[in-house]
Amino acid sequence: MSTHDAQMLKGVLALLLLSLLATEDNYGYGIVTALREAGFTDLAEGTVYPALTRLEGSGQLESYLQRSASGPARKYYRTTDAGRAELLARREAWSDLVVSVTNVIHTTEQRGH
Amino acid sequence: MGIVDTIRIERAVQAYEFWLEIRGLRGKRRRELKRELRTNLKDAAADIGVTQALFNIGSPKELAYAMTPEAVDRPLWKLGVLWALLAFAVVVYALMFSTFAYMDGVLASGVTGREVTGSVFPWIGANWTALVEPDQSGFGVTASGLGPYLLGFPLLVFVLAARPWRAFTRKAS
Repeated sequence: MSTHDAQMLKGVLALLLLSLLATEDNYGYGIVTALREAGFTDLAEGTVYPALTRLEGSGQLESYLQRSASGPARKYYRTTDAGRAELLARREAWSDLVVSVTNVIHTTEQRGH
Repeated sequence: MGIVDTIRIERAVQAYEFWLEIRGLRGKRRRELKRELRTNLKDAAADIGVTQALFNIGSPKELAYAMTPEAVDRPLWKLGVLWALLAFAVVVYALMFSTFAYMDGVLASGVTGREVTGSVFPWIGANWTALVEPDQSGFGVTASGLGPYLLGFPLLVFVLAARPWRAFTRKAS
C-alpha cells in the first residue's frame, strides 16, 4: 500500500481531479475509486469531496445528475473550458516543478558520490 | 443494504446537513450536498462496507466545514428550534418538580378540605392551588400563570440561538 505526504497530495489534488475529469465524466465515489486504482490508496473521500466542490465553485468543473442503475441519481462532474485552461497551467507548473526538483536531487546525489 | 446500515448512513448524512446549516448554507444547496453525500456513501458502502465508507468521510462536522470554507452569516433556524425544544423540556421538568414539591408541602401541612394557593420560587407570577380531600383519600393541584415560562422562555432561547436579526444585517451589508 502506497503512502503519500498529505500536504503534497493536497497540493496536487486539483491537478489530479482535473486530469481525471478531462478524459471522462465521473461522480464522487467513482473519482475516489479511480484515484485509488491509480495508486493513491490513502486518499480519503473526506479530502476529495471538498476539493470537487471547490473546483465546481470556482467554475473549473460543472455537474449534472444522472440516474444510476443501482439507486439514486449520481452527481457527475466534468471539466469546463476554465477547468481545461487551469489543467494546462497546472500541468506546466507540475512539469517545471518535477524538472527543478529532479535537478536538485541529481546535483546533490552527484556531489554526495 | 440492511436497515441498520441505512440508518447509520442516514445518521451521518443528517449530521452533515446539520453542520452545513450551522455554516449558513442555504436550503437548496444544502440539500444538493446532502443528496450527493448519501449517494456517494451508498456507492462506497456497496463497495467497501458501511463502516469503512463512514470512516473514510471522517467526521461529518469536519466534512461540512471543509465544504464551506467561509461561513455565511444567516439565521440558524434549525439550531434555534433545537435549543428551544431543549429549553421547553427543561422548563417542563422544573415545573413538574416544583408542582410535586408544592403538593408535598401542602400534604405535610395537614390542611384538608380547602384550597391552598401559593407560589414556588423562582416562578414569579405563577400560582399553584392544591386541594386535599378531608379524609385524605385524594388530592389535586393546578397551576396558573405558567405561560411566560412554557412559551416565553423557549421563544427567547429560540431567538437567541437562531439569531434572526442576521437576515436584516446581511441584507443591509
